Amino acid sequence: MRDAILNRLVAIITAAVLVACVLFALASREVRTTGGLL
Amino acid sequence: MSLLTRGTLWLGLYFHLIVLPLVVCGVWPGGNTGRPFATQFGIACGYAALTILVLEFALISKIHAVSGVFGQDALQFFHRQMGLLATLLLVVHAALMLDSGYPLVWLNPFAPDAPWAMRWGAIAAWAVGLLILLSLLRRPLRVSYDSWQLSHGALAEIVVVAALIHIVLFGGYSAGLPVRIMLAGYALLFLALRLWFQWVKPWLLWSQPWEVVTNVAELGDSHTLTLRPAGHPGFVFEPGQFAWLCTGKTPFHKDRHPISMSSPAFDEPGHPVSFTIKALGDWSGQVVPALQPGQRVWVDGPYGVFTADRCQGPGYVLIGGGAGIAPLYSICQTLAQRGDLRPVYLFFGGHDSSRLIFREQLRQLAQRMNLHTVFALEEPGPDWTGERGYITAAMLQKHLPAQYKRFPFFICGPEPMVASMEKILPALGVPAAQIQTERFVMV
Repeated sequence: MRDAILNRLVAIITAAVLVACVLFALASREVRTTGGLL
Repeated sequence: MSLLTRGTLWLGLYFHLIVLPLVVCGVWPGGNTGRPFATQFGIACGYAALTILVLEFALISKIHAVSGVFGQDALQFFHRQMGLLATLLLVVHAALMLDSGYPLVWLNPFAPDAPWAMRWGAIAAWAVGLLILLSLLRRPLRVSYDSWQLSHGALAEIVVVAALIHIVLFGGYSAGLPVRIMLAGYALLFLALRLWFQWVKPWLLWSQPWEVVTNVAELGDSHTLTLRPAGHPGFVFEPGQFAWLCTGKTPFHKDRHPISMSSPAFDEPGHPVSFTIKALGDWSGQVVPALQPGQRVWVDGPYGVFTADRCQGPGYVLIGGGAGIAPLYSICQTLAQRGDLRPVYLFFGGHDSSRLIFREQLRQLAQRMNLHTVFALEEPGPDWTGERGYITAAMLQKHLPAQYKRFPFFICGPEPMVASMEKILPALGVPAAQIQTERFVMV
């Protein structure tokens, strides 16, 4: 049971770390614009 | 502060330390924004992998403030799983960096035109690959626990040092002062953890030696070592806990083994402590049987949350196999010594009757407490009157009282037995919170 709980915790941390990485990449990625007013 | 609060705080700190580099790099990018999403994601994976790898040392450094909350055995398991996550992040990091245009040949640290930053990155990648392979394939490759322990520590140190040098030499985000200060902080944390584990902790143990009182051969190719504290009060432990034994000339010796206490637990320190060790390798098969009374050894403990004192109920069900009987025997003796009248149902599985450690002692103990023993043999002789085969759901139901679902269950033994019980018990209606397991093989 303990291992199952720990595995669930690892899964939650994995998901949270991946979300943090995605947010970091989204915030710092190149932004392509179509020109015009921008 | 309650255990739950402390656990939540430690977990919060752990997660924040993993993502802190992303926050620092995000706030002080230093002109490193504007790369494609995949490249930035790869960089983030690299930073997260590094911090997880640094924190891996914290998980195994036996820091009492942390191990007292989660249990060192749980931390070892968590360390293993998080190591796999760090490896996955490193693979993603390398793959996305290669995809963004870096040449494949730079994965070779000896490539003639590779920049030093890439050579160090490649060294870290190969070292982590070797480390994971050795951990997963230690048994099939027949690598001894001692050799594995030495190589694991050395490779892990190479990984972290090489990865830090890789990041600093590469520049990019790490060219900025805030990120450099942050990296210096992680490097200091890494050094402090290594210093604590390799030097400070053994130094503290050195002034607290233990002395072998007796070394008795048991059934099942096992030996029970009884130790007494020499010149210090020793420690108080809870029945079911374990300690690291070091039989080298000093506690600085790298050869340390996690072993459960098999003697009763007392409320005050100063009592001798016994460890029952089954011959499974070089140390347990050759060094332990040769230990003589009077010899000095080093005991680092107690650790673990597999203890009856933390999980109360109207009675207990103990399920053990092989050397997994040691912590269960400690629980039984402690309850007997405390005059505890609650019923205890002990199921003990073994190959044949000659391998049932403490069989006779358990029969004698049953006269002093409310203990019901059920022995199950895989290969019983013709005279055997006990149970036959593996411990099954039907066997448990046959011997347990009607109110068994309210009892805490403690399971310790070989991996297949523990895994089998983790399926059987929930099917029998035992709540998950009442099932405590311990695997005596950590790697």
